[in-house]
Amino acid sequence: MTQKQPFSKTVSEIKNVFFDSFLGKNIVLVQAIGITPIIAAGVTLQKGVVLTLCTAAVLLPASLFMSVFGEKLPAWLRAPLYSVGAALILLGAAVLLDRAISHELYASLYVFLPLTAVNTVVSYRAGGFSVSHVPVVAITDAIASSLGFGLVICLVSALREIASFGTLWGNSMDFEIVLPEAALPYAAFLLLGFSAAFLQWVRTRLLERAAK
Amino acid sequence: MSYKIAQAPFLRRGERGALMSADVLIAFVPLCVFTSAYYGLRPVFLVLTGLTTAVLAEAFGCLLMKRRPTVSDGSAAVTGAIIGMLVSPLSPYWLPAAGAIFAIVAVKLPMGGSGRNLFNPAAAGIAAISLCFPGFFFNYPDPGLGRPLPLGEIAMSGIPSPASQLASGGQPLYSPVMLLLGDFPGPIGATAVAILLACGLYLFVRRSLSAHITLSFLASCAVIAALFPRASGASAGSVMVELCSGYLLFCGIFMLNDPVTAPRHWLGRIAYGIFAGVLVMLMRFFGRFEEGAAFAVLLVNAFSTTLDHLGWYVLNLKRIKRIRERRHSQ
Repeated sequence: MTQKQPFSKTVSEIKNVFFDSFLGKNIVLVQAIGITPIIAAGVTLQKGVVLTLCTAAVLLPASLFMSVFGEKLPAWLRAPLYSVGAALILLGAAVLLDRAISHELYASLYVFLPLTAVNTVVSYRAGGFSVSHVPVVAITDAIASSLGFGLVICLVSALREIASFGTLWGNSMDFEIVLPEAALPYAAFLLLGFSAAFLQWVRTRLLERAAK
Repeated sequence: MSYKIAQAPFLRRGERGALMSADVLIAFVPLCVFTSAYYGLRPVFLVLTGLTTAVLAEAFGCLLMKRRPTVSDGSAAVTGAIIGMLVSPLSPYWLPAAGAIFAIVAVKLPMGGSGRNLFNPAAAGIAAISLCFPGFFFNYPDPGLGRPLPLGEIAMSGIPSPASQLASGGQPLYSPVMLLLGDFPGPIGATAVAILLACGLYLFVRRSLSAHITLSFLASCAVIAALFPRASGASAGSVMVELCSGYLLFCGIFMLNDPVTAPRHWLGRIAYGIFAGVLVMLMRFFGRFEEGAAFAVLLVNAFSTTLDHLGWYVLNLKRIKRIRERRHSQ
């Protein structure tokens, strides 16, 4: 049986966990997890926001569940259990998106929504981190991870939408020149690489300042 | 014992990076002169645009990043010139400029500048512009026009090149003499096959070109072309058309031999050439574009260090085994 990591229930510790997962060890830019949906589906800001919401909707309950019951379950049962749970949540989310919001958006995302259930973000955070931490920390980490993922996918997809269609959230930006090829995967790889480098640059700057 | 930590390009005694770059630029002169016989002065200006933009981008980039400017080693000039040599004579002037800026600003400088770049910047620039503007990039003029192309703005649709004819399942009707003399539509610097071969020989004599890489690359391309001919008829004709069309030969001579990104070890170099050849032919057979040599170069660049290590390991297997046994017995 795994031992829970010690937790002193102070606000500053929760704050540390939050900022670590959100920026300092950003799930996409530093840990390089969950890149696939960004590259394949993060083409417009709308899709980015929908994928963020779906990831959060799956990750929060999965993390909480695994934090409370994870230890009592045998290791082989954990992954199938939260994958099935995540798939059920996503089924609801997909129906909601299709009926209530936009059929076109659903049609363009229908491959990627179910894939969120077996996303590495979910399996890594829910299956790894949450099991060895108390529920408060696990939930904080889930929120921060979702926000970190959302920040990156929204940034990348907004830039790609502006570059490739000249629009933002479907509204025209009145650009003369558009570059339709920015919707291809290589543009997302480039953007991710440069944002990761920028994050590292900021981190080293902050560490230097802290050392002084 | 102390080791001296050097930085690529690793040069022999008496060699200098600037001289190697100068050799490559000298080799470009006859190619430019030859193309201007077909198309007038426009190709020369295109090459100069690429070269100037790359040098300016490198200078400004180094100033912005507060680094010592590395313009004087000439690698930026070579990068820009290669990009200029590989665009179509019909392309607008901003096309080589865009490629050169991408190559320097997005690929070379972030990786650490001259001597530290993981990927060949010229190949990256070409890959970027052929992905983003395939309409301009693969629009090649007919060399048999008989009059020079206008220097200013140009709106002209070209004719299919042999590589695109092969890709669409057609039969390129070019005699070997026409192919050798560059009398077929293609990029500025990559059609004059006879002159390209002479340039390769010059660079080999000046030790800027590794015969291991170029020969193994061309040999593997030729073997694949002979085994799976896309043009009907004898496999010899298929080999000729495949090797001469596109910018395969140019890539084998100038891009794969980049002293920074190529492996240093002879066995690694042979493996590198063969790997690149297989990838180029695969891109031609199954890729989206008629020519994907730049993508193939970028892919093999990623394996350069691994191939180097593997080559060294294979050759020193006996020694490694002996050392291990000795350690084991102790």
